[in-house]
Amino acid sequence: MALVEFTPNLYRHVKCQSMTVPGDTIIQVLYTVCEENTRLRSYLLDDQGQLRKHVTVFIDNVRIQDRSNLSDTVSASSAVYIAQALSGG
Amino acid sequence: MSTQCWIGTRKGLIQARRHADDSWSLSPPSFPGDPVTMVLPAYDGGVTYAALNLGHFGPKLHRSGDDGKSWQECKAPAFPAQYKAGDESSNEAKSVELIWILEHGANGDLWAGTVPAGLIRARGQGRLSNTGG
Repeated sequence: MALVEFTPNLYRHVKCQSMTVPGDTIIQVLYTVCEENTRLRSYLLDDQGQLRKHVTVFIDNVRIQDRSNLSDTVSASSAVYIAQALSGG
Repeated sequence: MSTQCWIGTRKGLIQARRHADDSWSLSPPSFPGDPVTMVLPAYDGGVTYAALNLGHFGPKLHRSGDDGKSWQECKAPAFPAQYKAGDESSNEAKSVELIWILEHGANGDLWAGTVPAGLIRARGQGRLSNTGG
């Protein structure tokens, strides 16, 4: 069961608390998170069910590589962190 | 003549009211800090809508049945889900990035113009009893 945590910037829009969810890949984890907290879905995923362009996910402090199919693997002891993708400029 | 107007800004939504002595007052902002891209005043005592663009977290739609005293988030206009994992031809399936215009339709319908270009109808959303998800 991976531990999923969210950026505090989400709290002002949606009530979301850290949760532990099953899943072998990040897509399974994200979909389970969105099933348990349905309001979160439109904040994390777009109309096509893909990760929003400006949302990023870290697994054990490493940013996921496969944003298209969300196939990055998650272990039972993984820590998943979901945040807005910040950039400079 | 209307005695109020809505002012959507990049930092929230403000309601301006004109009083009997022709003076104006401004309400405290709703959605402070958030870009409000469109406001649709209530029609015939119905529901007022406010469209937000939260940037990282996408476009959102809120509704008020009490003239802006309180707001509830409702389901935002969306394109049909067409993406299929592993099907590269579906990689370009579109998602709403911005709600730039709203209009009341017949029978409580709500019309939304979006970016990317789209015109989306939400059936019955104009009635508070038919709240979206």
